[in-house]
Amino acid sequence: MNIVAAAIGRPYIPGWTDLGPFVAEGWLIVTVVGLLLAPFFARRRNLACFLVALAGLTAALISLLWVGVPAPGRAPLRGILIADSFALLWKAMLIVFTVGVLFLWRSTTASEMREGDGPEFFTLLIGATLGMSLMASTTNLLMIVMAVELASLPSYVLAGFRKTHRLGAEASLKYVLFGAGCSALMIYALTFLYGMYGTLDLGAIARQVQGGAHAHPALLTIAFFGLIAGVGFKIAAVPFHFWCPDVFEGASVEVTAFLSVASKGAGLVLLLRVLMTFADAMEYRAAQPLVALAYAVGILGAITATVGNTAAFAQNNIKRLLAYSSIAHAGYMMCAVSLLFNLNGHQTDAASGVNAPAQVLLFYLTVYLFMNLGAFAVAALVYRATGSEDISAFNGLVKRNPVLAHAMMACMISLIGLPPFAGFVAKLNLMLVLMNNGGGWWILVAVIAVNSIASAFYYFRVLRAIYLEPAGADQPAFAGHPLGVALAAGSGLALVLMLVLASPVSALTRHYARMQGIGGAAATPATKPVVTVSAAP
Amino acid sequence: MELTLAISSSPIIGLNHYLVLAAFIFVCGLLSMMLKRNAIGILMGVELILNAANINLVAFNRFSYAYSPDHKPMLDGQVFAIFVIVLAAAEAAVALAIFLNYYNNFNTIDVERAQTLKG
Repeated sequence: MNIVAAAIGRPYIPGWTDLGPFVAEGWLIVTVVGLLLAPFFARRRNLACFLVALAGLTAALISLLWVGVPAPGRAPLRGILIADSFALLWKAMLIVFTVGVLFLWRSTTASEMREGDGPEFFTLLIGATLGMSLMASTTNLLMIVMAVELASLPSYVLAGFRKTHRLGAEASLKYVLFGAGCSALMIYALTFLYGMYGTLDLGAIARQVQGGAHAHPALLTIAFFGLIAGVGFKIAAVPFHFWCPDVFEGASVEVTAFLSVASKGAGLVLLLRVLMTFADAMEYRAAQPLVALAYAVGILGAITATVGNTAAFAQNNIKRLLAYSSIAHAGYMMCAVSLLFNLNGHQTDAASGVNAPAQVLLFYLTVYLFMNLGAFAVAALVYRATGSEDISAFNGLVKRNPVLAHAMMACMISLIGLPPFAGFVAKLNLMLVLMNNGGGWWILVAVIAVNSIASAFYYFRVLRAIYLEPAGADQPAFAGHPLGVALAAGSGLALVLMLVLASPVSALTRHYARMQGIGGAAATPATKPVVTVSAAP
Repeated sequence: MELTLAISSSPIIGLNHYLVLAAFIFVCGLLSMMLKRNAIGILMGVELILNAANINLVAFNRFSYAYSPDHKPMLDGQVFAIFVIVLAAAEAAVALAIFLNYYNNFNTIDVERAQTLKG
C-alpha cells in the first residue's frame, strides 16, 4: 500500500549488541546534554561545564576501553557503523587529546572567556569530538557525510568563538565558506557512486567496481575527486589547504591545537578506511582505479608535505608556523595512506589481520598528538605571558622559563624527526614501511627525507630564539599556569618515553591495526548484478 | 501510488533529464561560488550544489534503484536527500551566524576584503 511502510517493513530497534560498541559515543551525547543543563545548577558556569566535559570524556574513555571490540564477523547497526580495533585506538587517542585540549583551555583562555560562554564552547567541542570519532568507524556514504559535517559545523563556530576578535571573525568566515564548498562538492560527487552502484555501502560498491559493473571511468573519477575534496579539506591536503594557516592564526590556541590534531587525524583515519575498503576488494594487478588512487594520494601527500614546509620558512607567527608544519605532517601521513597495495598483493597480513598502513598511521598519530599538544601548550603560555604570537616572543625563554623551553625543544626536535625523541621512530617507521613496499614508493621516501632536512631550518629558528637570543628588557621571567606547564612538560616527557619504549608502542599500534571487513583475503568478484529494476510490481 | 504509476508510465521524462537538470544547477552553483564576492552569494551557490545533489539522489533512487532484486521498495537515495536537506539548513544557520559576526567586526561581508590574515 504505502511505499514508505513497505520499505521500512518491521521497525528496526537496535539492541545492546548493536549499540554496545558505540557506548563511548553515547557518553559524548550525554555529555552534550549535560553541558546544556549544567548552567542551570551552577553559579560558576564555565568551571561547571569544564568539569562536566572532563567527566563525560573520562566516562567515554573508560567505557570505550571496557567494552572493547566486538567479535569479528558481525556488523552492528546493519553495517552503517563499524566497531573495530583500528577505530577503537583512534577514539581513545582522540578522547585523551580532547582532555588535553580541555586542560589547555583551563590554563589559558579560561580566564578571558566571558562567564556564560562556557556551555556553548564545550558543547561545540564535544560535538566536534563526536563527529570525529564517528568518522573513524563508517564506510557508509550517508554516515561519512553526516560524520564529516558533524565534525565540521562546530569547528567553524569554534574558530570564531571570540566574538569581538577581528582575526577570529575572519578565520571562521574563511573556514565556513571553504568547508561548505568542499563538502557540497563531496556530496554531489558521491551521489554518482550511489547512481552507478545503487548502494550506499562502500564495501559493496568496491566489490562491484572489481566485478567491472557499470565502471564508468569519468563518473568514478568525479566521485573520487569529490571524496578527496571533502576529506582533503579536513586534512588540509594541498589544493584544499588555504583555510588552514588563516584559521590556525585567527582561532584561539586550544581550538587551533584541537583542529591541528583531531580534525586532521580523523580525516586521515577516514581516508585510510575508505581507500583500504576499496583496495581490499580488488585484485591489485588488474585494478586500474586502485593504482590510480594510490598514485593520486601519494603524489598529493608529497606535494602537501613540500608546500607545507616551503611556506613555513616565511612565517614569523608561531601559530602560522605550526599550521604549515601540521600541513607538512599531514602530507607525510598521506604518504602512509597511499600504501594501498604492495607488490605481493594486499596490505593486510592474512594470518594476523594487521594492516601495514594502518599501523604506520596509528603510530605516527600517537606521536604527532603529543608533539603538537606540547608545542601549542608552550605557545599558549608564552602568548599569555607576553601578549605576542611572534617568534621573537620566545627570545631567551630558556632563562625565563626553563621547563617550557626544554619542552618546546623536545617538541621541535621531534617534529623534525630527530632522535632522542619519538618523532624519530615515527618517521623512521613510516619511511621503512614505504621503502619495503617496493614499487615506486621509494620516491616518497626521498621526498620525505628532503622535506625533513628542509623543515629543520624553520624549527631551528624557534630553537635559536629560545636558546641563543637574549631576552628583551620587556620580556621578564614568568611562571605560567601550572596546569599548562604540566601539560607541556608531560608532552615532552611522553616524547622521550615513547622513544625509549618504541617497541611496546609499536606493538600496541600493531595490535590495534586491524580493520573489520578488511582481511587481505582474495577478492570476491561481484556476484550480484547491478539492480536496474524499475518496473512497478 | 497513482502518482508513482503516472510518472513511470510517462515516456518523455526519464533519468537523463533529471541528471542534466542537476548538472545545470550544479554548474550554476559552482559559478556563483567562484564568482560572487558577497559571502551570502557564495552560500547560495553551496545551497544550489546541495540541491543538485538532492535531485541526483532522488532521480537515481526513483529510476534505477526503486526496488531491490526481490522486489522490495528501496529508499536509500530518498533518505540521503532528506539528510542533505537538514544538513543544508544546519549549514546555513551556522554560516549566517558567522557572516553576521564578521559583519559586526568589519562592516562588510565582501570576501575579497577579508585580507587581514595572509601569508
